[in-house]
Amino acid sequence: MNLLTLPWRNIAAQKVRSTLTVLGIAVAVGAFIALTGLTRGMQYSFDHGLGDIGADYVVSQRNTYSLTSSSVSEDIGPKLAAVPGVAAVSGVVLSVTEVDNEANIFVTGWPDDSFLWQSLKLASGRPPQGDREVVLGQSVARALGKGVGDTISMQYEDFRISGLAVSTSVFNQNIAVTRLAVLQDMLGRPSAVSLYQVRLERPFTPERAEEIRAGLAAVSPLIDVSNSEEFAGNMQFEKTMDAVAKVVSLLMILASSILVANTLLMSVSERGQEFGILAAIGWTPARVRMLVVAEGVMMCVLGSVIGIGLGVFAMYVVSWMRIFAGLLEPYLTTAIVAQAVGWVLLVGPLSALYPAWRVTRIPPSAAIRGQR
Amino acid sequence: MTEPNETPALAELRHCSRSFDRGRIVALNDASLTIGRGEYVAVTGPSGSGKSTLLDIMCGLEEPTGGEVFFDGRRVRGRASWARIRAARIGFVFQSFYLIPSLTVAENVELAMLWQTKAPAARAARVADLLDQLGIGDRRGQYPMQLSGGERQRVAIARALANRPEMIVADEPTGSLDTQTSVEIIALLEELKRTSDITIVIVTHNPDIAARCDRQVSLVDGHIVADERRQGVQT
Repeated sequence: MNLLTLPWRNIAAQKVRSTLTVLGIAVAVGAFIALTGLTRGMQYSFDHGLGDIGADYVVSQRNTYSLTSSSVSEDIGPKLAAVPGVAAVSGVVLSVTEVDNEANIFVTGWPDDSFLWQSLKLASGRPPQGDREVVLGQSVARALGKGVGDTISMQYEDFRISGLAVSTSVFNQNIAVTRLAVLQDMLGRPSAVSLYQVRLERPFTPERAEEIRAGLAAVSPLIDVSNSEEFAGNMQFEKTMDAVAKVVSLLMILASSILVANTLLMSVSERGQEFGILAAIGWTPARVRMLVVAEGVMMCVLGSVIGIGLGVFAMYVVSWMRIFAGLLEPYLTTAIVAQAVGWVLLVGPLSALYPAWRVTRIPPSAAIRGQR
Repeated sequence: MTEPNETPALAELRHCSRSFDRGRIVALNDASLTIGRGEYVAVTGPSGSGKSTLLDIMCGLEEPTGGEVFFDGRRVRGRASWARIRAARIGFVFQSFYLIPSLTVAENVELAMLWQTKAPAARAARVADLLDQLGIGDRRGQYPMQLSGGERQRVAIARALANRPEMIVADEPTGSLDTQTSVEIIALLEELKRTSDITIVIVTHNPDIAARCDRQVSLVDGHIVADERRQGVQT
């Protein structure tokens, strides 16, 4: 027998109540992990996707809300290309579109002479040439059951699949690539792009890269210049998503802490005599309170363990849903798990303090005889 | 909090009172009592006379509304101070046994030693010794619900003795037992008394049990009305 035997027996003695509380905590931890993981996964997917196509800097509309709402005039392109140290510049149009009335995927348009085409690794077929041709990422093609030569519908127009692309980034595996002019025409944005991808002259030092970055930023006050790691994080949409995910997750954890407090309150009010016995045999009030808090911590630990599994499962289920093909990527890090568990292990014991205090408020003589 | 005091007594109440319901109910009224080391004392009186309140105050289970309580010459106040004294120096035996139903016999006994600086093996050995000594060694893995009343009270006595206390306080220890088992439990306490220098204070309604004690303190309506020593008993 050790100091954890008694709290564990007490939890086990109320199986239904304890199970429901533990499940409540698990759902909160799971939601935290799934929401945070998917939000971060989306950022990572964008970052990795943009870095995967050979660009060093991304030039976007200043303080733009989202990746797809960014709009930069095509007049800026030649000015960016003229900045010393810049090897190549490519305008890019990005949009989310519904494919075959089933899935929402990213579609991007690149100029015919863009350096970006060099980074496009084709598993089969060829780059798009005609007005209504598209290269599909292998994953999204598999999800849609399409191959080279098949047709997909985007924005109510049919596109022939000219090739299938492979990529190490989930974002690019789930994207459709077409010619810039075609996409500009389709979206009604004839002289604007979503962003510019900038490739620097090789080799370059980090200091040189920063100098070039400053040169790019000086081209217009209406643009932001970011590297691939910063880019997604700078999007207002990403920040909003991140904030919403955090608030919802923390609210769920707070709700679960109320559940813990309620369970412990019910439990301690039923076991007043037991706490009186402990006091009679020499347990100090602090030790009795510790026992109650230990019960709360144990339920939180159990809930956290189940919640981690639940969160990972939920993250994969959501990312596998066709409607999110390519938009959401599971992203699990030790930091996310630690944050979720950390919050629960902070808030859980705090919520146990009130029931613990109530236990020792009653004199031992009254507690042991079942008086209040 | 404790303060020095010159009395050689083990437990002492000085002008202790305890009232409830904003003074409308007076359970103990200006009671003064000294229990010396090694004494065997019966506290008697009708129901509601304040016997249990006296015992509770003597052991810090209840704080008096007036007066002072001393243990081993030091004034004691505060639940934590009393808890530490009870843990090491006072063992309790109650009428209703008060065992924890979710713990086995051995665990109920060990519970009293859990915060002592004893290795788990030493605790287990002490539990085994006590249970064997009290004739319930074969019941160690059973739960209180599986035991008879007499066996449960033996477990409670084992728990009370776990930390080798200087004083056993028993509140109606035979109140829930049949006559034969009551005799056995009292014999057990008296055997303890003979083999060690332990102090025993028993609250009882039973005049036969009270008559076996060295000293009898009687209460009526919260007042100590008699404090008599059996003839031939030296203190």
